[in-house]
Amino acid sequence: MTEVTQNQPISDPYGDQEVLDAYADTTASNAPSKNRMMTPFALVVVAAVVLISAMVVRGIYKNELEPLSDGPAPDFSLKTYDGQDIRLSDYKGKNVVVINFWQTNCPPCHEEAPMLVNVYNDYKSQGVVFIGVNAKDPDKLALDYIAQYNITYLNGLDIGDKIQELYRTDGYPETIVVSRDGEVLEHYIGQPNEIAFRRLLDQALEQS
Amino acid sequence: MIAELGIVSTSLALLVTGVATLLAILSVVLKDERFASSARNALLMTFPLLTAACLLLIYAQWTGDYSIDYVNSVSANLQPDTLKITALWGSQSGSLLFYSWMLSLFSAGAVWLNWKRQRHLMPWVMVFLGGTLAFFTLLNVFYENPFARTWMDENGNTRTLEVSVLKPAGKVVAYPWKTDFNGETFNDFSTSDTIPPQFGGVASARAAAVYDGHGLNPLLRHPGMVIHPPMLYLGFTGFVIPFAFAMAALMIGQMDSDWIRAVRRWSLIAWVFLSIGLILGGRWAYDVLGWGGYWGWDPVENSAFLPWLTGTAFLHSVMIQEKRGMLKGWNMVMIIATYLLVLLGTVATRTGLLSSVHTFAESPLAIPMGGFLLITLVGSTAAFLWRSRQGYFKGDHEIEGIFSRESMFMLNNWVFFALTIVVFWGTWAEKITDLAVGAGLRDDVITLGPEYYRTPTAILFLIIYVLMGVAPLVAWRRATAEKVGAALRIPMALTAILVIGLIIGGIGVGATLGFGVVAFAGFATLLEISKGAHARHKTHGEPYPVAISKLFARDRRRYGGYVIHLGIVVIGIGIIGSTIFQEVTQQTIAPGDTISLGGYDMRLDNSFLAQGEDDRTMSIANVTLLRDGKVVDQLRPRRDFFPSGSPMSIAGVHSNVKGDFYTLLIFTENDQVTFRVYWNPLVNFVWWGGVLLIIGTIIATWPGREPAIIRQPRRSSITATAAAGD
Amino acid sequence: MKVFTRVLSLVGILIFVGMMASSQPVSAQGGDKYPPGVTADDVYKVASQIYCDVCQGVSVAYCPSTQCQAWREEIADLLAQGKTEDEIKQHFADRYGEKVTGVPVSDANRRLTYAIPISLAVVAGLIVSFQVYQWRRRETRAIQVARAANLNENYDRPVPDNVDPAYLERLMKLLEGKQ
Repeated sequence: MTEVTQNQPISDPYGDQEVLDAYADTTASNAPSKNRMMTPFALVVVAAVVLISAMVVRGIYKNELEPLSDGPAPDFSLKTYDGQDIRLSDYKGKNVVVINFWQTNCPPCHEEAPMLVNVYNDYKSQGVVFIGVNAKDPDKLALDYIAQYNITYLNGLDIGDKIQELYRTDGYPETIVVSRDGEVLEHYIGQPNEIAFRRLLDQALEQS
Repeated sequence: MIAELGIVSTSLALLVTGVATLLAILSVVLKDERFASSARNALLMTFPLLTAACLLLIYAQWTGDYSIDYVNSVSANLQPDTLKITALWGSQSGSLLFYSWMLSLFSAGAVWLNWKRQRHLMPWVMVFLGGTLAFFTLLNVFYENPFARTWMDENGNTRTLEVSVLKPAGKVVAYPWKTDFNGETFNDFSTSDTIPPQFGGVASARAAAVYDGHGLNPLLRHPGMVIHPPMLYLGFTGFVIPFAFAMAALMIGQMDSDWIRAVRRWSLIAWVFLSIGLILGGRWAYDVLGWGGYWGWDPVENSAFLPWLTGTAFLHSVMIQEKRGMLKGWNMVMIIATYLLVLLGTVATRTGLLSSVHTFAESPLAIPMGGFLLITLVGSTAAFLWRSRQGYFKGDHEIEGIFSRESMFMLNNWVFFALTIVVFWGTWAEKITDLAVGAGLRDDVITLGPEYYRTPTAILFLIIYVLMGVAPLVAWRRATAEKVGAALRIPMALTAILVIGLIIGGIGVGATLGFGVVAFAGFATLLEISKGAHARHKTHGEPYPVAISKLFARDRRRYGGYVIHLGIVVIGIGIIGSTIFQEVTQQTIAPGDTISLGGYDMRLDNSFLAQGEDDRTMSIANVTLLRDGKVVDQLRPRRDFFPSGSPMSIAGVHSNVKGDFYTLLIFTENDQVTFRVYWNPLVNFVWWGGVLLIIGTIIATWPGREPAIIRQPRRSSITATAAAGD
Repeated sequence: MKVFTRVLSLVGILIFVGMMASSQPVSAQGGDKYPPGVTADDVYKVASQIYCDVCQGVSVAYCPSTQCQAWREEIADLLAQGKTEDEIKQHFADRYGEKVTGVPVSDANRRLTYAIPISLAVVAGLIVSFQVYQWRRRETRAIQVARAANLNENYDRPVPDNVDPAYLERLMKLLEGKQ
């Protein structure tokens, strides 16, 4: 290997030999050389893969979840049509609560409304509280509905569909029965069978 | 009989695919030729088996075997014949079988056509093709079996709740349920039960005698149903071949042009099917969905659009690898990303992960499909990172100037990547922010709709059109602004004339910019073609038509590509016209009144009800279309009502070059009719551009003389056996 | 007996879920009723920017369900009260959640919506620019090496395509003529 010095410009005018030697060193093993720029790129790729995987897993997990039918009833607040602000926790330890999700555009809701009013009127003296949660209706239509069926229990709009998300409801009507100590006893999808419904309320009231 | 044969053929297909994958793995691990040949035969065998399964299902639909639950849900006696056949892809389990059939078609095609030239890649290719096909046939057999049937007991009572593949063992008994409460008897749901054999139940279930089916969802009863899903699925499944070759290249560590050359044609074919599928989907939506548009940025539409974006970027970027050996890593990432986006879209659509009109109903596919997606995602990323850490993607090439064809391609990659990010974020924002909600970082999710996409995609597409015009004129390695500027003189001049004309015509700024940029790309492309033809004309003395055809024949890829670009230009003109200049109005009129829009007057003549061939009721209106007082057309917009399902609007449309006069019947009351009327200027350019796209792709993929390339002999571990034949 | 009851409830749920899964949104039977002075076009201009869950992907303007009809009539009422487009969108977002509009109405969410794709695109642009710059830098060294060592490039060298087409044609004619 010829030594290269600054004072020998004629034999190696472009400094090629130095470069060639450096090149020979790196290609000696004939293996591709390590690419140092990969590391931040690799991190980005891994981060993207982790994010997408997490997104898919959580998405599928949430899809597979059943409507909430046991365990503690999630607390929520509701502003009723007559301006009251109520919370589910107001009734914990005191009342059995029935939460009914309804909508004016849903025919089964219209069908079950008289039944719900009857059951409410029968059981309200025993301290059972009914809360009607409306989805997506303009106030005018909701109030018409309430007047039409003489509904006397509290009703309010589920702002942003938050309460429906909490209870993982799918459609309307759905009815949740919450025990005195705040546990979900039953989650009826569709119209509840009146006999079974009344029986459940009896059982719930019997609990201390 | 049919169902039994169908179950057997799908199960056999699963078995054979599993065997093929196993053999392929063995051939890779043991490096034994015989296993590779066996794997190839097994993989070829899956195609006739799945074809048989599909034909059996079609036959069942044709003859009306409604004991098969799938046939019951998608077919009916009164359904037209073509729809009885195309109902194969009318719902989840049938379309999944169709999907598997296409995978087997492409897998068989790849191992048949690419066997000799890419011999060293084939064992690994078969591992990935076989593995994918095995997974999907697994779904076909165990999760969504289209041959599941309804059963009835000896009294003819149907077990309506239990549809099963295998005949229930034991004695089937059906009876109503009663209960007493407070002295009253209540009848509730009737149910059925099986008395198992060990308690004396003798098997008595028979396939239920069901005499008619529900029929296809009304929105699917349209010619678009015949062709849109197959095109789209061909596009999706077609990308499995490039993916398999890319993964094979990664696994054996040969990252240069060989695998690219193998997949280029397959990628282009898959790409054109995907493009056709997208355009036809738009056309179908335009015809039946009744909102006068053809693209709604629906999550499922976007799921098909995302792989199109990365696939287009890939098709361009491979050119740079073929010519200069650069961007190996990028190309690998792009093709793997395209396939992963296809998988993600398939999973999201079929499992209801994304909410959309297009998603199928609830199904048990979520966990297996999610698992398969994650395995493929993590596995392919790991393989890529492994090889890239080993330095396989280090480029050792260079350019002399920042302004060069290479950097144009990089810019192209970047624009498509940015578009992919924009559309991906729009589609998945809800799920991604839901992660943040779950982690406690946010209170609520962000949901994005069509308004989000419009501005970002418009800006990025404008950049693409500029690139389309400029890049073909930029030299490799180093280009000078003077040369490019000189070449662009004529297109710029023509564009300037157009822009001035548009401004004088009073078109707004945004539209002028859009039309200007799109037209610029068109002019530049046309100029390239004419330059080549002119050169031939001068040197060979050929008349221009001959010159052009010989020019195309000499360099199919380039000129086919130019025609494809022209197709995109035409589509762009159509999109700008029909989006920015669309006019809508909704009015209620009585017979004799007119609605005026877009220079036309539409007069209501009368309206009436009619009964359709199948079970639909039609509300029809006769309207006369006038322009400047002269009758131009008679239209019959109508609204079809079905006993089950939502109503469908069939628009009355008057189409010509200038645009579509599109009218929908919304509501009738007595003799007053409410119409919604659209004026969609230039919308037909979208469909014609699609035709140009197909023509260009045919030119580009037409088998012809490969360009003369001096190749260095390749050292391969299997040359000896290859020479011996297989 | 308890198992039996549970099975029956499950049966009931399955029937109902089956019905719900296949049920279509209730379609509007009657036409929309708007207050006087509000035209359908006014309503549709706003309604086409609002989305309800019932008809997925289709705006309130074009969805035939009774739910959307009720919302269109609510929009019409608000228009009659003199509310602007933005006020109406805010009203709907406040009542029914931000998901009803295509882009979130709250400033923070809207900024985040655009910040994420823009920043990712910018980062990608930086990476791309860096890589192009790297290519340019390697030029000097590689040219020296190639010139000094007369190295063969181990990839295929195609015909460069920035050659003047006329020149190329003459060349091809010459070559073909020689055969």
